[in-house]
Amino acid sequence: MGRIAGKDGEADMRTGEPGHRDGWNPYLAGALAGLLAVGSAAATARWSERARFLGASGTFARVATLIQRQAARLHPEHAVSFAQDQRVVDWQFMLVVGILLGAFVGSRSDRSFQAEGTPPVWSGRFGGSWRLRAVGAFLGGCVAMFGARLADGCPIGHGLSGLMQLSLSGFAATAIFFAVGSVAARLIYRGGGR
Amino acid sequence: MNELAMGWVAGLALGFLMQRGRVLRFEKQVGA
Repeated sequence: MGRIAGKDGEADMRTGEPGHRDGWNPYLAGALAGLLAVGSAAATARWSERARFLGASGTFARVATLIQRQAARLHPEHAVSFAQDQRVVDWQFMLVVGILLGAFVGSRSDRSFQAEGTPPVWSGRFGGSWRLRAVGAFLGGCVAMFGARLADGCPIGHGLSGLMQLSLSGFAATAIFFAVGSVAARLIYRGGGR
Repeated sequence: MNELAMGWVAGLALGFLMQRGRVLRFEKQVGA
């Protein structure tokens, strides 16, 4: 782990994927994302009711609550809520939608956009079945959301917004995200993507 | 500026930066 896309042409040439070697320096992109996080908080503090800090996982909990409530119409006695704030379309919801669109625009504009059933690193370890990949992604999403709700934040919330506020929980959560993520990736992939 | 619009613009910029920095291809870098 730790090779830098855009500087390590060899790794990309091995997989034969078009376009992936031409990304920006990730440290530059990270620095700009940090400035964006600060600027966004300042802008919302100035022009809206309160400062809003970058984060994503809360939106998934609120959307899950909305879906669950639609399903519970038949059995209202079983209705539950996964989030205190019930408003679904809020600042953070628009942020999440914007992330999808922004990434799409970025990939189209540098011509790296492509449809793929399974990413190369997954195929190298588990084969090319998209069904297996879908099951893996679903289970991974379950683990990620459980952790994000348990920690009251995801890597964006703790890693970006927590650290920029010098939050102790942000430092702790981010360190553990990196440590466990690195170990888990090694255990799951075992270098199979090479 | 409208709060929702500010969120959308921030999301657009963040998604663009993550894509250009290849953050969204992190798993590829792990295996590379």
